[in-house]
Amino acid sequence: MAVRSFIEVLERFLPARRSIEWRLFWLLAMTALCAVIAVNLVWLPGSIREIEHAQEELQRVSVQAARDHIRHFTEKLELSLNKAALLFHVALLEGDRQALPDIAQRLLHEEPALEEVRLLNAQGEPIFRSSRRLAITEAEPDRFVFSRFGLAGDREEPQWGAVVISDTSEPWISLAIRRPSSKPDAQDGIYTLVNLKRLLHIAEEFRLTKEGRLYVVGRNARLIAAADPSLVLRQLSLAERPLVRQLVFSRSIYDPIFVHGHYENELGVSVEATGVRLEPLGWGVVVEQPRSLVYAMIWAKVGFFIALSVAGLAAALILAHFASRRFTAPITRLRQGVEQIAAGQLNHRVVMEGDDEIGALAMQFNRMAGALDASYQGLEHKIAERTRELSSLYTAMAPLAGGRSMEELLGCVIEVLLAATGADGAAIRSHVPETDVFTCVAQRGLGQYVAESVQAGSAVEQVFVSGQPIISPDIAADGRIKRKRQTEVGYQSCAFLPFAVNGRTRGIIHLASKRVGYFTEEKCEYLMTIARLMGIVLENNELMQASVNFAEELSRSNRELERSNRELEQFAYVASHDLQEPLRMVSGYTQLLWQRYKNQLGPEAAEFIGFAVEGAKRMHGLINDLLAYSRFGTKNTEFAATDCEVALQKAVDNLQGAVADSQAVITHGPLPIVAADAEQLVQLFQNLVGNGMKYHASAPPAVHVNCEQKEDAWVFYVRDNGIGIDPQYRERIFVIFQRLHTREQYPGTGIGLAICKKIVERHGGRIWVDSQVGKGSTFCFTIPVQPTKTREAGKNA
Amino acid sequence: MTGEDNGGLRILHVEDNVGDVRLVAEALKEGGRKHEIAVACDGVEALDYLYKRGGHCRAPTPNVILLDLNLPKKGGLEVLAEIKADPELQNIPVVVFTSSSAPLDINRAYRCHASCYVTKPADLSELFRVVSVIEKFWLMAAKLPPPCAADATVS
Repeated sequence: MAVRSFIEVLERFLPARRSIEWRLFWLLAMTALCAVIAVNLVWLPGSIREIEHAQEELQRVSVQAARDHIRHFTEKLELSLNKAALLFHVALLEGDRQALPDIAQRLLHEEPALEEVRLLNAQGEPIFRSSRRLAITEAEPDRFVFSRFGLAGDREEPQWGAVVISDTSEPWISLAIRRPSSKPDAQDGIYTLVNLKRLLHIAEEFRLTKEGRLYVVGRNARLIAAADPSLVLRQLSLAERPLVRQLVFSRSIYDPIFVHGHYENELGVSVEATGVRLEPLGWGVVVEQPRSLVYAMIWAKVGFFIALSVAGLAAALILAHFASRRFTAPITRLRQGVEQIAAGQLNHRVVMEGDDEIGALAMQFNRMAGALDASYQGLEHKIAERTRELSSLYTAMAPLAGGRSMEELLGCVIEVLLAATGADGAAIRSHVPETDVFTCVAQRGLGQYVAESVQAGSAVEQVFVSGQPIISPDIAADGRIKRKRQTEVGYQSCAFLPFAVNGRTRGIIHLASKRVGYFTEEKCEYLMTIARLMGIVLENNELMQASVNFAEELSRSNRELERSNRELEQFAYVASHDLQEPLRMVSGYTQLLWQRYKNQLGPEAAEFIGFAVEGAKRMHGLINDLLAYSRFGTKNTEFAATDCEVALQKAVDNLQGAVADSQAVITHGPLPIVAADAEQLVQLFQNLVGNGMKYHASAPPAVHVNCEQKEDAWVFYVRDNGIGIDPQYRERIFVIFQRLHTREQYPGTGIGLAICKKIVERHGGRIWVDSQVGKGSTFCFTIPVQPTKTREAGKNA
Repeated sequence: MTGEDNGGLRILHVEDNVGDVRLVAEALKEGGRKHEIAVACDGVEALDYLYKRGGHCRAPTPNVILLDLNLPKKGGLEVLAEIKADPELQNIPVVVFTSSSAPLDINRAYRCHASCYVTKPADLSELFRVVSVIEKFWLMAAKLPPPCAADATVS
């Protein structure tokens, strides 16, 4: 959701796609992005390397400082020891054994790091021993130190041994020096134990960062000093670290003093380390820092660069947005100008500063708009003039609306002609085809003149034959007008206009003015329009008259139909009541007569009375059927979508008794849904299926109903295996009360198929039969396909 | 006192066809019970009889009315509507007995609160059977409305 709304905001901010502004914006934005990426690619690796270099440099400075401190510490100790050795030597030479403790005490006093001083004889046994503390380690003198004495021969440099652990669990280291001028193989000298606490302090002091560490390794790659004394106490060997190996085992002078590398320390932390050799002791001083620290710095740098890039890119996008808008604004303004002009605002002009290409374009545009405006103004003036003419015509013609008699209408038309054209006189001459005479049907102001018949070759005849108007500005000078009788009543200018009704020229409109030059050829179009309109008015009037007549006729026949329908209904009702009663009397009293007086009547009486009762019964049946038949015509229910399968099932249910009696088999194919009166459809199926069952031969009846669509109608087939119908009777069977068999053969009144026909015809279909005697019959009927959903369509969907 | 005491009903038969009147009378005779049958030939006379107007001032109120629909002067449905609108007469059961079997007539009659609608059969034996059913129904199956105070004083 948030992303979508962000995109929406972005889209509102950004210009419309596919516009020039959009493309320009993207071009600028992409350029900025490429620039940022390029700068980062060039700059970032260099600055990462710089970070690494700076880190290395820092470690180098730190380790160098630590080494110098350690060297100062060791050199000062060695110097003091050398001095003490000289003093011991002198004292021993003088045999002044009393002076030895003093010298030792002084030495211990001068060098706080010294814990114990032993004076050894040539056999390496201690002659004298002095300690700073009461508890003195009983550790044996380091064999290594002595072996070094032995090997060194006359060397008098102090020898540093291995780390020993004091009984106070402090890391000490042994330092020995030969007494001067001893015998070469003698092992006498001074053996001291140095507390390494001072080195621990140095390690603590120069470890650079909280996470970083500094340590000192001996020539055997074992740890001598570190910030954590427990590591020293554990006598940890660091020989597996390549950096340490390179530092303490390699003794070539070509090796660099500083060694840089990385490894995983005993805590499992990957570290960056710098080591320096501590000559001449052969020790190594190493400072290490977790690589994560360097990485953190690098990531900080990278993060900074990314942030800077993003900020730069955002600034570039904003700049690109405004720049692209600024570049395309004149174009947009020009486009809006075109839109305004297109919308009809012809006085719109584009305001544009600058004399670049767009400025020139705008100038051209304004010039074009000006020209367009000017030409439009002219056009508008013309239109206004024409509109004025038309509106005056329209006002004049208003009285012509509405139906009226011909005389009234023609009178109105003359008024309209005078009003619309400003003529002083007007006449309508209608051509009578039978006599080929132009009769004046209406006139105003022309008087006697128009009552005269028109002579052959006159202007009126010319106009009528050619269909072209004659407009005469000055009658007196016009050769086309032969008789100039109208000038006698003062008319100087006239116009003869043909008019047509229903596309046929019917006559002439004659307009006359007392002013010379009133009717001119310029007015021709306007006058002809008026003539055409007059023709249309007359045409409309004729149509209206016809439609009024037709409507009257229709309503009369409708009333007639309604009355006859009512009468029919009345008849049906009366028939049901009044025809039934006499019948009941006949049959009732005949029966009563028989019941009461059969003994007094002769033997033939029973037969006669039987005929009378039977006749009355049949009459009763006929009346009922007739009523039913007439009811199917008068019922006026709306057609609804009806499932023919349901209707057929209902019909078969109604026939259940007959089906059981005759053991008939009734089957059907798929039937559609049609628009029908459901009740009548049931009756239709009931009559047809019932017939199929009724007129059966010896075999049990079988009736099959199916349906197919032919063009725009459903065709239903009701096929039976009955006795069949002679084709000559195929029309007759649908007539009411027509029968082909005696009542003794097949009972019935002959109403069933007549009702079927009525029902089918009410639904807009037709019914017929295909049959041969003895070969069964197929009754067919159609029902139009309505635009309702059929069963088939439903199934396919 | 009432028709019931003699084992019969007091019937008002409203019917214009004398033949029908006689047939119904014959049919009732077949049942063997004696009924008091009054006949009105048209709607106006029927109402006169019920309101005891004119020559009918001593006429007793019937137990059942047999009413034809097709009547001169005033139609059967109008008579039915007037009877059912009158508080004194509306509790008398009205059997519409007519030759019409038109659904329209049947519906109108029941809408006017007819007690039942019976079509006259064309066949004599059928007619006798139907009349006998009506007689037995009102005599044996149905409970007739009890006579009101006005009737008691008259008798």
